Order: sequence, then structure tokens, then C-alpha cells
Amino acid sequence: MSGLTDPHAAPSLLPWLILFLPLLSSVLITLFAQKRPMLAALLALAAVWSAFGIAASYLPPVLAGHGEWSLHDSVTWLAADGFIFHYGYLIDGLSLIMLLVVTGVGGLIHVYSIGYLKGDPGMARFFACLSLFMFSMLGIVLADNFFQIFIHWELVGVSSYLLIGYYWRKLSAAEASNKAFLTNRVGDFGFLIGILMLAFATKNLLPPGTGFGDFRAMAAIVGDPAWLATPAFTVAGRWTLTNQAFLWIAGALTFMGVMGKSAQFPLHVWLPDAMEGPTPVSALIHAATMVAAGVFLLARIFFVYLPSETSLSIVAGIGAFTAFFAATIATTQNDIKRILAFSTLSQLGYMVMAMGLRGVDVAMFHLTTHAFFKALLFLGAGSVIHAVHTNDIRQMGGLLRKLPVTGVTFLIGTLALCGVPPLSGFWSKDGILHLSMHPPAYAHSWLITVLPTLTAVLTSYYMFRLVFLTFFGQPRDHHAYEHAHESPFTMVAPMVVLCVLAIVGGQLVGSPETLEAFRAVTRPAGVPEFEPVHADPATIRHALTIFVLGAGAAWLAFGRRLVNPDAIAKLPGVRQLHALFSNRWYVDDVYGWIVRNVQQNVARGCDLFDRWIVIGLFVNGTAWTTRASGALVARYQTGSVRAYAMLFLAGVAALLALVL
Amino acid sequence: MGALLFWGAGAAMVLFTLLTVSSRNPVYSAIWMILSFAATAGLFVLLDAHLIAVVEVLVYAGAIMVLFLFVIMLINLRAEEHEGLRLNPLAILAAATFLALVTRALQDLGPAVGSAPNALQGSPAVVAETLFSRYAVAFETVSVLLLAAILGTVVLSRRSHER
Amino acid sequence: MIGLQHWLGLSAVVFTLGLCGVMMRRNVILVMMSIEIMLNAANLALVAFNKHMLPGPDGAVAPDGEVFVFFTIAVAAAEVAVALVIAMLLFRRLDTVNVDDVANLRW
Repeated sequence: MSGLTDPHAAPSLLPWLILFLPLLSSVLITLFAQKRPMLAALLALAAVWSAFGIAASYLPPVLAGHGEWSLHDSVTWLAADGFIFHYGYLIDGLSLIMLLVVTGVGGLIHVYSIGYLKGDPGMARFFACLSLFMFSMLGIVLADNFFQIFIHWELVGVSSYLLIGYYWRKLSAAEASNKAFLTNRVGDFGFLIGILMLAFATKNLLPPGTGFGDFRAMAAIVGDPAWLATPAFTVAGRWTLTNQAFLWIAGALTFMGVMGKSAQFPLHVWLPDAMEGPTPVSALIHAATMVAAGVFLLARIFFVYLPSETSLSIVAGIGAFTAFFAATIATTQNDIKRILAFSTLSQLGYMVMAMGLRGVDVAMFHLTTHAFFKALLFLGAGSVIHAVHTNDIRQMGGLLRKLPVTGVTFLIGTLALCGVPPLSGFWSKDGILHLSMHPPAYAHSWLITVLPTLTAVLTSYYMFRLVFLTFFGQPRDHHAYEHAHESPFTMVAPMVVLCVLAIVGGQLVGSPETLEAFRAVTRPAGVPEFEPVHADPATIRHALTIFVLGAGAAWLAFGRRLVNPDAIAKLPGVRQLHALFSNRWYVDDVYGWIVRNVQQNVARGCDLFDRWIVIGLFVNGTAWTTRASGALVARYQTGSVRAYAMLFLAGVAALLALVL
Repeated sequence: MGALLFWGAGAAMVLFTLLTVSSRNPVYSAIWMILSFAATAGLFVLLDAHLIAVVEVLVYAGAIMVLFLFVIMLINLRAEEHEGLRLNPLAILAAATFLALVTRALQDLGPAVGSAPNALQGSPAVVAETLFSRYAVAFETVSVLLLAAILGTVVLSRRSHER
Repeated sequence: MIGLQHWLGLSAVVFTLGLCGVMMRRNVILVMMSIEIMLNAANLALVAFNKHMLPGPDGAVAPDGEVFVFFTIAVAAAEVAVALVIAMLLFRRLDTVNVDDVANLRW
């Protein structure tokens, strides 16, 4: 069953190829190319770039479609009692922009990986996992119903687990991949309940033959104001839950999935540890694509959130807090990848907050520009690590002279991240900041109006701390410095491409017409129009003020060394703050305490129950009972013929008595 | 006349059976049993089952009991002190219960359909006619059974290694 | 008048006597004799039933009961033969004909 609005396309096989070429690549690599890393790389690259090409072919109709164009097809996977599960694709503006980002940035990172992992014995396995990840992620982007998106949601978690745990022989990497998967599972639990609630609430109104959780059908139902007022169900004949209330609960639960995948507080704990994976993984999954899946989901199912101000407030609040929280921690980190990881957390917080403030377009815009410059920053970090063989910025310094291309691109990426005009970050980030300073009525709180700006200052500070300590000044580890050299072409070229995108991406994507074209077909009516940031003096002044405050402080402390940061860190109030931030606000410790004391005790209780009652009573007890009753009856087997004869007689007499 | 014969032969049968079961000497038990079979044969004649009566005497009294006597002599069975009917209360109770139940079953019979005697033709001709027509297969099977019994007896009683 | 109940009652009494013999005698030969008594009583009952059957359409009574008795007698003969051989073998082996001494098939 296909719904086409594109006049000259037959029910097309091409979108299926986008999805299944990476899967095919992964399978082929696993079966045939495990010992031939270059072949594996070739297969993976071919799959990803073909997918990019196919996706790009849909760009013209999307750009001309004003957010109304879509391409859709699906097959019935499972038709069970009353439920039909579909598996299909939905290409509209929203999914197309994500497709281009995922396959484009992903493709560049595939190229980078060839240089980064050269000589590593598991390189073929890496590409197989990378292709698997591409399949999973593209499935999320292309999904047209909740069932499919949930499956791929989990698949992405699995791929992430495999990739974070790439260096599985290292204990910290294995633990980090476990942590990522388990934290995601907690989020997915809420997600699943939310999906079920939504399906339950809409199931009687779906047109017959619609798949379970079909987005467009549900968007149509949920958008109806009459539906919102009808009661969902009544408890004990007295308390009634209207659909609207039901919706916000479902929305909050579904948001748990977003929290897990996009690492919002309090399910953020896995992202910093996920830096144990190779740098291309960090760039692809934990900067550009997988963590953006949460934001994408919010855009796709925004119809769940729009009717309810409560759920929007929750989303915005958590996003704003996460952004601030992560930025404070980033100021104290010394591992180059960890700083970038917390920076990602912070930017994701911005995106989620923007969603909560009904700025769907600007959030997706920031997602796109962030993919460009954050991937660039991670690749640059990987280049640095590759050169000096350490992640610790305290042992770097003056690398700009030795790694010029890396240094310059990294610097440009940083400027983009800090929102310096006219780079891409300025357009998207300032769009969000503008939204946060003039929020809708339900979100008027200092959490929204003040924190994001403060966070932006902190962002400039910690990023330039990173830049100054790494690329400028005197090298602190001379041995490493001597041996440092620029990275090979396969690593540098993607960085340059991303750098260009980071510069022009803003104007490229940020016009209202383009953003309107990239809208979701499931977008509800009532989302306010995108207000583009104008390059007027007031806005530019605002952005530059933030930048100067933050970068200036970093320059004073780490650039020119006019202020001693260690001395400041020892001051009475600052010391406690520093401890709080560098211990990640002790959230991980709290979780560890909960796991050790609560979960383990619950597990011990369950173990006791299992051992004594299930095994002891039921299993062994049944065996004991059988044996005991058997022994009881066996006492009659005396071997004596006369006894047997009497028993026969007794039996016959009993039968006779019964019959008579 | 028939009733008198019935009571007489019946009492005799019961008496001889009692003596069989309670006798201390196995040979005496065998003799009493032969007499019991004789009484049974008489009862069969009363029932107009002439062939069966004769077969009873021939096979039961003549062959089976002779077999019993042979075996008693072969294994040199003597009359032992602790022989005889040792009255076991539980067994008596069980037997009495059984008898009571069966009697109860008999009472329910009442003036049933077949309670009037018929003119049973128990001559060999009549029996043979039914035997060899309707029950031919069973007849052949029983002959095979007898063959198996013979073989079994021969095989089992061979002394394998002692001569 | 001697009716079916009398015959069956007689058969039952003899059967019970044989039952007592099986339960209460120690000698294996005697036990087998008691079994024969029981079989005999059953034969009596069969013939009594036959005598009280309804006649067939041609007026004659089918001698099915007698045929049945014929067969049981044959089978009893076969069974006694083999059983006595087994008893003899038992005696040769264990030097006893006491049923209580052959309680090997026990738990």
C-alpha cells in the first residue's frame, strides 16, 4: 500500500535500498571479509555513499514540496489478532534531512576510519559494526510507525554496544558498553510503555488496515480537539482521565526513550564513558547521529507533545538543565574526548529544550549544524590523539605548529560551536537562545530564560580552554611533541569537508523556506513558524558578548596565563564547586550506590526466593513428593503371593461394591 | 426329584471342596478334589450338559488331577504339622465380603428374563455343530495353545546340565 | 423350584471356598488346586447361564455356554501343566514348596 505524492515515481525499491544496503554490507563483511580489512572498508563505504546518493536524489522534490511532499510504502510484517504490524519507509522533509546528515556525515567518517584504524587487527569487524549501525539508524529515520521505530531503537543500542566495546579486551571499555546499553534499556522501558499507552488510546479510531502505531494515522487522531476532551478511561467509577491527561503521561514516558538515547539528565551517565570507543565511533554515534535520534523522535512525534503544556514544560526543563549541567562538568575535564562528550550533552540539551519550547524547526536546524561541527571536532580530536598517543590535554600544547590542518579546522569548529557569526553555529544556536529568552507563556522561568545563556558562556570558556591547552603555548610533553605529525589524507580530507560545512551550513540550511521544506509530514498544526535569526547588530553583539566573556576568561587563564587557574580552584567557594563539577555532580556515584545497595539486595532476595521456593519447594519438592509416595506404595510389594492374592480380592471387592 | 438331586450333589460338592481346602495331607486333598469334580459332573448332567459332564470327568478328574498326583509324588510332598487351613481373619473377612457382594448381586437378578430353564440339548452333536462352525478359529487357537503348553512343559522340565 | 439364583449361589459358595484356599494355604500345589476349584465353579455358572438362556428363532438353545466351558477346561489343563512344571522346578531349586519362601520379587 503506497501513498505517493511524487508523480513520476512508481512504488519504488530505492528507499528500501537505503535501508538494506548497509545491512547487506554488514552481512557480507562478516561472512567474507573478516581477514580483509580493505575489502570490508570498501563494502561499507560503498553502502553508505550509495545510500547518500539515493537520499540526495529525493532532495529536489522535498525542496519543492514545502513540507507536504512524502513517499511511503510498507509491507505487512505480522498480522495478529486485531493488530497489524507494518514495516515500511516514510520519506518526508524531516526524514530526508536526517538521512542526508546520517549518510553524509557517516560517509565522511567511514573515510576517516580507514586512516584512523589502519593496522588495527579488528578493522573489518569495525566496519561490519559500523554498517550494522547505519542500518539501525536509517531504520529509525525511515520508520513510519512506532513498532518499527522501537525495533530499530533497540538495534541502535546494540550497535552502540558493539562499537563502544570495540576494544573489548580493555575492562573500562567493556564496562562502558554495558553501561550504555543498560542505561538505554531503562529509557526504552519508559518508551515502550508510552508507545503502548498511545496505541491503546487511539486503537478504536484508526482506520481499518492501518498498522500498529502508524505515525500519520495517530497524528490525525491526536490532533483532533474533540478526541482530547473524551475520557480515556475511568477508575473506580469516579476518577476520569481525559485523553489529554493520558497524552501527557504517555508523552512523558515516551520522553524517557529520548532521555536515554539523547543522554538527557538523569540518563546521561553513559555518554561520557562511551568515549572508550574509537574516535570515529564517538564522532558518528555520539555526536552526530545516534544521540540525535532522540531529537528526531521528538520532531517525528511532536503531535504527542503539542497538545499538552505539561509535557512540553517537562521536555524544556530537562533539556535546559542538562545543557547547564553538562557545561559545568566540561569545565573541569582533562580528557579531550570527555570534554567534547560533555559538550555534546550540553548541545543536545539545547535541542531538547528548543523542542520543549515548540521550536521544532530550530531544533532540527541546530541538530544539523551540530552534526557538522561536532563531528569535525571529534575527528580533530582523533587526529590529535593519533599524533601524540594520549587523550590528556595537560600533556599537550603547541600542536598547532605540528598539526596545522587539524588545528585550523578544529579552531573553526570551536568557533562554530561557540556561536560566532557568520559560522553555522551562530544561526542555529542563537535561534535557540532567542527562543529561550522569549519563551511561550508556560515556560517562563529562570531555568529557561537565564540558564541557556549562562551555559553558552561556559561553552565558550571550556572549549577555548581546550583549544589553548592543546594547540597553543609550550608543549608539556616534549617526547610526544617531537613525534607528532599531521594525519594522513584519508583522515584530513573529511575534516576539511566538515569544516566547509560548518562554515556555510548555516546559510545553506537555515533559510525559512529550506526549514519549512524539511518539516515532518506528521507535524501538528499549531507549531509556531520558525523565526530566523537576523544578522542585525543587536544579535551579533549578543553572540559576540557571550563569546568574548567565555573565551576571554579561558584566554586569561590558559592562553596568556595572566590568571592562575589552579590558584582560583583552591579558593573556598570555588573549591567545592570544582569538586562538584569534576565528580560529575556525583550522579554516577549515586547510581553506583543504588546498584550496589538497592539492586543487589533485591537481586539477593530474588535469588533466595528462587533457590528456596522455586527450586527447593516446587522443583525439589515435587521430586521428593513423587519419590516419597512411590516409596509408600512400594511397601506393598512384599513379594508374597498370598498378600498379592488378598490385594487382588480387595480390588475386585471394591470394584463390585462400586458397580453395585 | 430334580431339586433333591440338586441339593444333594450341591451339598456334596461344597463338602468335598471344603475338605480339599482344609485337608492336611496333599494326597487327601487331591482325592477330595476328584470327588468334588465327580459331584460337579453330576450337576452338569442335571443341567443337561452331557458332553461337558463327561469332558469334566475325563479331563479334570482324569488328567489334571492325575497330573497333580504325579507332581505331589515327584516332589515327595508329605503331610506336615503346620499344614492345613490356617485361619487368617483378614482372609476370612475378605472372602465373606466377597460372598456378601456376590449374593447381593444375585438378589438383583430377580425373576429376570432367562430364569426359566430351557430344553438345553447338550449332546455332543449339538455342541460340535456350534463349536466347529462359529468357534472354529477359537478351536484352532486353543489347539495351538495346547501345543505350546506341551512344548513348554517339555522344555521347562529338561535338566540342562545335571544328568 | 431350582432357579438360576440357586445355581449361581452354589457357584459363588464354591468359588469363595476356592478363594479361601488360595489365600490361606502355604503349599504351592494346594494353591493351584484351589485355583482349579475356582475355575470349576466358574464353569458351573457358565453352564447354568446357558441353561437359562432364551431359545433362538428356531426354538433351539444355542450351546454357546457349553462351548465356552469346553474352552476354559482346555485352557485350564494347559495352564495346570505348565504351572506344575514351574512348581517342580521351584522345588528343585529352592527345596521348598512354601509360597512364603519365594518372595524374591519385592521392593
